[in-house]
Amino acid sequence: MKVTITRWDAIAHWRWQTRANDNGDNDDENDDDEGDLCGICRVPFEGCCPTCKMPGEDCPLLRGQCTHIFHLHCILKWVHSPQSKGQCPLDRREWVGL
Amino acid sequence: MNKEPQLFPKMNHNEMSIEESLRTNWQFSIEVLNGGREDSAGIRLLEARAWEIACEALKPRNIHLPAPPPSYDERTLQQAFEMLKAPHKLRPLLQWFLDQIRNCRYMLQKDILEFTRHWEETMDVRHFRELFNVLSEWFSVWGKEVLAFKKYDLDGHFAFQRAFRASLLSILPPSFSSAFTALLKFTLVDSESFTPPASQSLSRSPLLFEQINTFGVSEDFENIITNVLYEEIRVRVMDTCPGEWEESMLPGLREWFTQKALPWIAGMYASGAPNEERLRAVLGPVTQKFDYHLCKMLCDLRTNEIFDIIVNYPNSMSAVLDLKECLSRTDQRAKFVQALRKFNTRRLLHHGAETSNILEQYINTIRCLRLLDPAGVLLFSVAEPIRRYLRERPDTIRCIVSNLATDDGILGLSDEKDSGITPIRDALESADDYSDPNWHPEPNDAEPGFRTSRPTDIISILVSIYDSRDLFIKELQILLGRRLLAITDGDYYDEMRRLEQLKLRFGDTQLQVCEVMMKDILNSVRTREGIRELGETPLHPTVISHLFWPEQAKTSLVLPLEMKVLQDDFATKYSDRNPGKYLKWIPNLGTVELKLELADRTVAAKVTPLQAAVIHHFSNQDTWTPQELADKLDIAEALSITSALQAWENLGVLEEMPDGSYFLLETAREGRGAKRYNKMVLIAPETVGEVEAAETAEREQTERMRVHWQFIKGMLNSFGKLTLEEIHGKLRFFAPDYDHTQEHLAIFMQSALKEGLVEVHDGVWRAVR
Ligand SMILES: [Zn+2]
Ligand SMILES: [Zn+2]
Ligand SMILES: [Zn+2]
Repeated sequence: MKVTITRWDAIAHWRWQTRANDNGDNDDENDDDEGDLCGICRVPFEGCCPTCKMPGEDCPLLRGQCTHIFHLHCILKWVHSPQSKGQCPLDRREWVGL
Repeated sequence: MNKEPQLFPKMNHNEMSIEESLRTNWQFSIEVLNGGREDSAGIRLLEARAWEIACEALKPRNIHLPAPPPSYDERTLQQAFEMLKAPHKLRPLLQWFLDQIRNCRYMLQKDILEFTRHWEETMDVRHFRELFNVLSEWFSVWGKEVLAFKKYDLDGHFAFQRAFRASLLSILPPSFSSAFTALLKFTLVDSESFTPPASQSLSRSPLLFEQINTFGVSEDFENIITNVLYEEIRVRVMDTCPGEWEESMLPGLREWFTQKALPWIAGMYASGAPNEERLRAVLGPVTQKFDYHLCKMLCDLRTNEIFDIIVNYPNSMSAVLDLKECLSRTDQRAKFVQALRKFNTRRLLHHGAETSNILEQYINTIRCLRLLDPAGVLLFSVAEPIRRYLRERPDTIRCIVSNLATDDGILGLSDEKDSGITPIRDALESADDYSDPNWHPEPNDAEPGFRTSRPTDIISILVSIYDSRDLFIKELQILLGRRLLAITDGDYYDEMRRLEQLKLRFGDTQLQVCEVMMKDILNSVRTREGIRELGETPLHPTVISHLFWPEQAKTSLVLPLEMKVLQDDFATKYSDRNPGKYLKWIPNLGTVELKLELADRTVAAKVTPLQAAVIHHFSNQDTWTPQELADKLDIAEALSITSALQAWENLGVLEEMPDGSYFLLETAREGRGAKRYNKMVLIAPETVGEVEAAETAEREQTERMRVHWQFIKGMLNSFGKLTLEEIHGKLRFFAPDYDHTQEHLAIFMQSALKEGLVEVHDGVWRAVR
């Protein structure tokens, strides 16, 4: 018997590659994982920051030199606020976006 | 003038001698009168003779016996009255006459009893009708000379009529009123039989009423007469109106009343009205009275039918408009509300009714009652219990939402076509305080602003059943998700249009999640097109932003290599196109279309990924046990493997072996397997929907069981501990309407356990206090 797939309507989630090994292959153990949260707004990376309405490219992530990742909009807003002193909110190191 | 007064003939032998002497005296008296001589004794004699003649003329006689020839002529009688006037003897004479009437009533009684008895025996109203002719004869014979008093300013006729009436009424037997009722009914229904052919003139009343009027008993019989007409109106309504909702019945009924019933009843009042104009004036209030009754009868009937009228709305609109008029004529609104609430409780608000039916009836109720009572008072009192009940139903929101999101759901859009889609209003119906004693219904021509203060579109009313809209949004999201994923032909136009409509209702902000879902779908279309440009692939993935979609029922499933290769290829290209992003597949969702090329045939099928995975493994190895496959696919539930295998067996591709393993039929079996499946066969129709339906069914079972909870709780409290079997047995024995299996009960008890209402140890259940 020869089996041919003529059409396959499948469903997938998209995720941000936030970890080195994130490629969709070996994350079965993380199935129930809702993904990491943005340390500023506490919304998952795949959600959107409080100022955005659409997730994904419209509300992208930004990784710092310190390896911390935030919603782009969240970290920019933070860095530009006077009390941030230009530091990463999690480790108080100088924020340098990659 | 008679020069020679006539001699009286003898009355009978016994009175001969008296007669003789009187005659002499009379002769003498006349001479005295003529001679002009005064003689007091003579005059007294004369008066005595005059009295006698008057009495003879007035004395009631038996009409069934031949009338004796009178002993006087008319002129003599006039002279006698003239003579009795001066000594004031006329009044006593009249009194004597009236006493005679009373004393002679036994003569009437015999006839009345006979006619009534005949009616009782034969029920022959035509014969009974004769009684009134006979009574008329009695009346006219007895009252023949009474007009003579009139000349002397004595209303002898009136006094006679009163005496006759009193006598008549005093001798009516008990069954008379039944006989009379029957007769009246007959004349009303079959009025041609007694009246001249229909005449426009109201004053030409049936002879019967003329006779009754003559006896002066119309008022005494008024109750009977009006009751007959009331009853006839009721019969008329009940004969012609039940179930006739598609046309207005009131005009026909009123037409009948004016043409047939009014002329009939007019007869009763005809005597009091000298001309037709007067009669019409008299009949005004009478007509009003009967019109009220007519409206009340129709009102009662329609109130009784109201539940089904609402079911049939708008076909039954005419009946509603009739009812509207009837309610405005009669004061039956409280009764109406009470009845409709009772019907709703009995026929609608119970676990046997589908939620969609309840909603549909509620919507029809809104439309119907708005027509009936634009001020909304009736609707408010009727709607509250329905809303309360709907609020308690677990699937109400889902039901409303699924209708919201279709074009031809129970909500219809008839209301909206004119006004367009309106945003949902927050103000609840109860914003108006109907308990305020000073509250008055707004007139029909109320200011346009009046109704904008509360929601009037059906959807707003339905949404306002709940305090919060969040539940609706959540349900909309689930529904939209299911719909979007079910679309495989790329035509999302309908869903987009509906989403736009929903945004108009609920506002953009509330539907933000749905907006994201829609965007995911459109992005997926673009992604697929872009990736297909790099190389043909049968894979059509929908890439979703999972946080914005309803939870997907994800189960583990290791796909065969052939399938996984397709996924990986697509995922790599996806990441190339979308830097920083990668795909996570939900392996168990979606549909796969397959072509199986077997030794003697080709089978095409649309299946679930699991079913596709199962059959793929048979291309490398022709026999598998369910357990082997479960291990291979990393599936925990053997049941789903078995059902996938059976699906292929049903298509004649696999065959179950005696040892429980499955074997690939490269060559079709004789019989059912011989059929060639060259056409696409759908063996996984709407898998998502099936799961959903099963869940809903189970949830409904649990909901139906909920009505027995108080009973179960009571038992657990009084017995302390019970096994499932005992609970089931007692419910079956004691609880009305309990028709569940023990399995249902088990599911219900499990959910009660989850809710912390009960606890279970070693199969023994206890209530948690
Ligand atoms: Zn953030
Ligand atoms: Zn953002
Ligand atoms: Zn940091």
